[in-house]
Amino acid sequence: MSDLIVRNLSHQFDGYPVVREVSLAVGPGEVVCLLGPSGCGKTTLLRVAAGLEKLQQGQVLIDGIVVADADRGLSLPPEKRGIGLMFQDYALFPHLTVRENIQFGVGATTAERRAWIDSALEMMDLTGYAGSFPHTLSGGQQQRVALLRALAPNPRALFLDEPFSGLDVTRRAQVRQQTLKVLKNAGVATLMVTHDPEEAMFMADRILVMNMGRVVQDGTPVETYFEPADAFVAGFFGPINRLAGRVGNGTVETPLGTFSAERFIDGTHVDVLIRPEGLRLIASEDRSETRLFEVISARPLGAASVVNVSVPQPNGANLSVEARVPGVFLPAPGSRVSVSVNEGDVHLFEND
Amino acid sequence: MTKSLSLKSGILAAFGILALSGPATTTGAEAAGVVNLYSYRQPFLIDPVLERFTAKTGIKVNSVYVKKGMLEKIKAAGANNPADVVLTVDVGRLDELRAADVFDPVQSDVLNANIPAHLRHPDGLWFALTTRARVALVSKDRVKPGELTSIADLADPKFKGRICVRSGKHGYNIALIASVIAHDGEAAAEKWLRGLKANLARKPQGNDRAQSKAIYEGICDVAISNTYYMGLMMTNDKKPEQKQWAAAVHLTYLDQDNGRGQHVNVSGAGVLKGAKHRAAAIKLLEFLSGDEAQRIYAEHNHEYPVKPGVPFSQLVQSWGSFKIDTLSVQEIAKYRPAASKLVDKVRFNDGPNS
Amino acid sequence: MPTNIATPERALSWHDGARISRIDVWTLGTLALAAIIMVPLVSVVVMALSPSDRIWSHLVDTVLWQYVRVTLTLMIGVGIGVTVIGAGTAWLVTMCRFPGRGIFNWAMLLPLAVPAYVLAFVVTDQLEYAGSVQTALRALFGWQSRQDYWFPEVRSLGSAIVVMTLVLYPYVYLLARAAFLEQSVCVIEVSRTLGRGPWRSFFHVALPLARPAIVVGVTLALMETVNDFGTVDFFAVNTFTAGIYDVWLNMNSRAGAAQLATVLLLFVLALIGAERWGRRGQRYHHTTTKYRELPSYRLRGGRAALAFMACLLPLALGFILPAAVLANYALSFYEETLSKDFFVHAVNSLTLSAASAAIAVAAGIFMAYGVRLSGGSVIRSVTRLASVGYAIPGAVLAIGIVFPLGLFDNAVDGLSRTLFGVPTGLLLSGTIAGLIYGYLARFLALSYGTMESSLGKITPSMDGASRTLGHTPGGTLRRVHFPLMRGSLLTAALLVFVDCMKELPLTLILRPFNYDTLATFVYQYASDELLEESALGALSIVGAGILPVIMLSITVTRSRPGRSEPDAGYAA
Repeated sequence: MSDLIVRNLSHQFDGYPVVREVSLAVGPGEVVCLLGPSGCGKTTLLRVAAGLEKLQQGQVLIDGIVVADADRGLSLPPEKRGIGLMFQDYALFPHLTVRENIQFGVGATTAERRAWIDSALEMMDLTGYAGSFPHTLSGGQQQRVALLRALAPNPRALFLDEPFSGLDVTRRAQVRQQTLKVLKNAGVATLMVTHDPEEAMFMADRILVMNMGRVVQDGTPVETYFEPADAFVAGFFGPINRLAGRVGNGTVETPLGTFSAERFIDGTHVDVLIRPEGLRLIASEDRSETRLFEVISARPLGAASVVNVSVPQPNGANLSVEARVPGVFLPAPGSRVSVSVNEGDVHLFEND
Repeated sequence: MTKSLSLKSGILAAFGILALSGPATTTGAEAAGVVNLYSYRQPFLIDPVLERFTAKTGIKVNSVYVKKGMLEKIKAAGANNPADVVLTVDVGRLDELRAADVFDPVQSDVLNANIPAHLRHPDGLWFALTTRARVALVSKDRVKPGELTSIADLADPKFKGRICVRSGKHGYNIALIASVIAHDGEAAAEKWLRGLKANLARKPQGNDRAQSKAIYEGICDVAISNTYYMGLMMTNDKKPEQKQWAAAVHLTYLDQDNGRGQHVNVSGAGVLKGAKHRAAAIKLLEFLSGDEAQRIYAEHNHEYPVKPGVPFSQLVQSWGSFKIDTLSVQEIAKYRPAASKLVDKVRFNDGPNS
Repeated sequence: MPTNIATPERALSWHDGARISRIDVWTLGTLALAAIIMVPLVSVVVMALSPSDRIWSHLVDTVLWQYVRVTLTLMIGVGIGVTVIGAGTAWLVTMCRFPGRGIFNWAMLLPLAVPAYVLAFVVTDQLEYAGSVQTALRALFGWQSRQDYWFPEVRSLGSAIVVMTLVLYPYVYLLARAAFLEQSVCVIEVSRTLGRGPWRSFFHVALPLARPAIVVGVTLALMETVNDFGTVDFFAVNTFTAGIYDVWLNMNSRAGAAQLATVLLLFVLALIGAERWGRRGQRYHHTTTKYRELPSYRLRGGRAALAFMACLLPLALGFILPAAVLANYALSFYEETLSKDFFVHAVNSLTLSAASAAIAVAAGIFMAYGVRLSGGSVIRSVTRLASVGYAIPGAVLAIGIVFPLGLFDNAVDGLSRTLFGVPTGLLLSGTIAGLIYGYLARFLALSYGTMESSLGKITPSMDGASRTLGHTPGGTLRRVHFPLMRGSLLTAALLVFVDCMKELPLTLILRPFNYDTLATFVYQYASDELLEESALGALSIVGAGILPVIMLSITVTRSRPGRSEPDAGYAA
């Protein structure tokens, strides 16, 4: 089983650095997601590793073999690397049927290969479409064909470039599941690019969060979510509340509560980031409660509700703080709720 | 994929055709004899004489009709130039080739006997084969005899709005204007040309025959044309309307009596340096200057043969004899660039009222 | 899913060409090919470097500005004409339903088959004093002679504009129609929901989206206009090209002519550059993969009649009229020209044109693909430069070829003499190969432009998909791009074929001995305005062009993506 290793890869376009010294490793059968906002360099990194862009600096190894090394001026063309790549726009060949598309990368179609393709089509609910042309398929079907096409030649490494972004939301979950199942079954080292944090969480064994060309954090989904390396990572996974505070006596005081800050020297200014789901709200008109805040808005999302409360700041301004509460909880705007914070969802970072 | 297959077979076919299209030139002497010819004259004009030549001597003539770029072709090929002979029309071309030093002198008693001295280059670099006069055709109805007798008359205001002519830039007109410059000098020539321009009935356009047509239609009364076109019009059975055009005009030789003589132009030939079939080339020239070919030129094209004693065609004889301007062909050629510039300066081709 | 997956078929090793990037082979090949094709252009510029003793001062004092003014007027007139007629009829035929549409679909291209000087002759023939129009007018109004009425000057700039427009609008029609067929219907529907009716959707959405294609068509038409000599000479119109020939042949200054030609070239380059700069940053990839049957506006009554007339008029004037007149003359004069030689000329024309078309298309696709692979702006500019040969007057381009070929041949000959003692003589000069080389230099614009725009419509992801699936760039070209570009390959081939059939100046100068095409054969008569005698030849040129033109039209119609037939795909 093969793996993918990237060492110190840098890339620039017209003198502008897009990827800065990124190293990563994808183990056999592992799914690694490159997660980051647009322009962070993740797609470029993917394309360079796949051989679609010329390697400017660094090394790429597939299955232990150096396929590209900038120092030695070596670069194996993509067709020789034995990789699979799935594009965001699928790039299915319009002049070939589904079956022909999938067989495109397979040299000689032996009976064994045909059987593989047949069972793969069945697994993806595409059996009846083998002789159809791509433009007659729905977006989800096209995506599955594109994935199968990339997998059919038994690649040593698989690259997925935003594979689900073209799908409607209701489909996405189902397709993701199917895809993950296929990937795990195939057992091939997979590097996937996405800007959707939930997608990364679902699909990845490990997430590499990228910002401005660098890898900011490399960890499991749980690690990146619950132990973000910096404010950027913390803020990337969804809306997050930001308060400012100053460390004193190993803690930091905020209008929402006092939190442990032992890591920091007293006197440090810190950003206090609190995840919306870490706020527990209880409707209350009990004025004896010191932490009561006025509700600005409350909207249902189905499985949860988003409630915005107004939190007065030390400097006098009011901050709108978002809380995500399970179930239906829709206090009337203007009413008061008490807010308590789960410390596990609080992340402190030095503010410099 | 079928398309790539058909593309590949297309390319293969292309190369096959290339291979089959034969050698570019005939190198080396071949048994029956061959001569390679570059011609300024259209094939339909010279093919008759060339066929007679081959029939008589067995020498095959390979020809290419090249109007533009002939000199460049010769120079570019250098020592490997495939052509042996050049056939031209118009003195300017002959002189251009002479000045470019591509002609080889030929000493031939036959040629010297057939062609008068003033119609061949003193060193035997080129030989005129026919002459043609550029005359005035005047409306029988609207121009009185003797009203127009010289080139100078063309600029006379009494002919305002009555003259038709082809483009001032055409070689035949350039030669005419060059002869005016040669005789009268540039300043006088400019004055004359401006006068002629003011007399134009319309913007210069069309070929020589179109001018006769214009007289017939009443658009103008005077035209300038080469004589052989008259001959061709008068004998055109296929297009009888041309006979009507010819019938409407009277051919007038210019500058006769005390004048300097009618302006003529020549068609001619020369042997090229480095000709691979020099002997055959000289044979060709000798044939073209001989009785048989000269008669064909006269009868078929209504041109004036150069060989003394060869009769003009009946038709040409009917126009009477005329005095020729004996200004050397060389002189006329010298002033061609100046003539061309004069046409620009005067904006001749813009027509009257401009 | 079976878990006993076989081991990969290819084992990686150093020997897989890791050092030499395959892309470089394509880049080098493209640059080399472009360089070879540019040799004539460069040679013209080199000729321009010799002194031209005071030609320029003479020209500036006298006719230069007239040449410029007349040429610009001609270009503007023809540019507007071909755009209006070409894009307008293309829109009508693609988007509307009216009687005759099915025929107009392919028939609008027919004027392509007619050489411009033939149409010039026919138009003049019919419009002049003795022609049908004036004769009819005189009969109608009882006028007796020329002095009784006013009629516009037939041989004029206006006539030249009309004739060139009629003969050249098919370029724009062809490319505009292909572009309209390609457009996703969603874009048009969006435009209508935003309040723009059919006409405004045309002007504000469809037309701008089709702009690159239309511009290519107009550029081709203008380049043909600029380098034309026969037509403007016939109409006594003094264009820049007429000036080039005048300086060359009357003032005997090859250097002066080359200088003028270089100026012309720079002007054309500037035009092309300006247009591209105006278009920078815009993308014309298809953004949606959804295609449905194009809606059609059903035209009724007055509108249908107008549409019918709008299509019929250019077709009638540009094709039906000259074809009818030629047929008439051919019947009267066929004895003059129907000899065994005639068939030889015809075969020459057909084989030469077919071979040149195949080669031009091969070169075009090779270079377009090489540019796509390397992606550099330098190589893109160089290849575009190579296709500018279309704008140079044919005879000047021919001279640009004659000299380098002569140099080459003499060099090889000299080398052969010294090394082997064997003379090789002239290898390329005055051969069919030399002539095809000339055609390539002249017509690359047609094939490269078509390929470039067609390749541009294939999303780069397809290239990436094919490469990652194990195919080399060449294999990708063969298995992915060719099938998708079938339509435009054929289009380019047919365009070059038809143009080669009509080609005159290059053929006259570069051909071997005893070799005539239909066009050169016709020329010996046409140059003396004796078109009647050569009508059969001219008619054959037109006839030989009809079938390719019809094929051209069919391939473009079939090429709309989203059809459920197997040959769905992107095309010209």
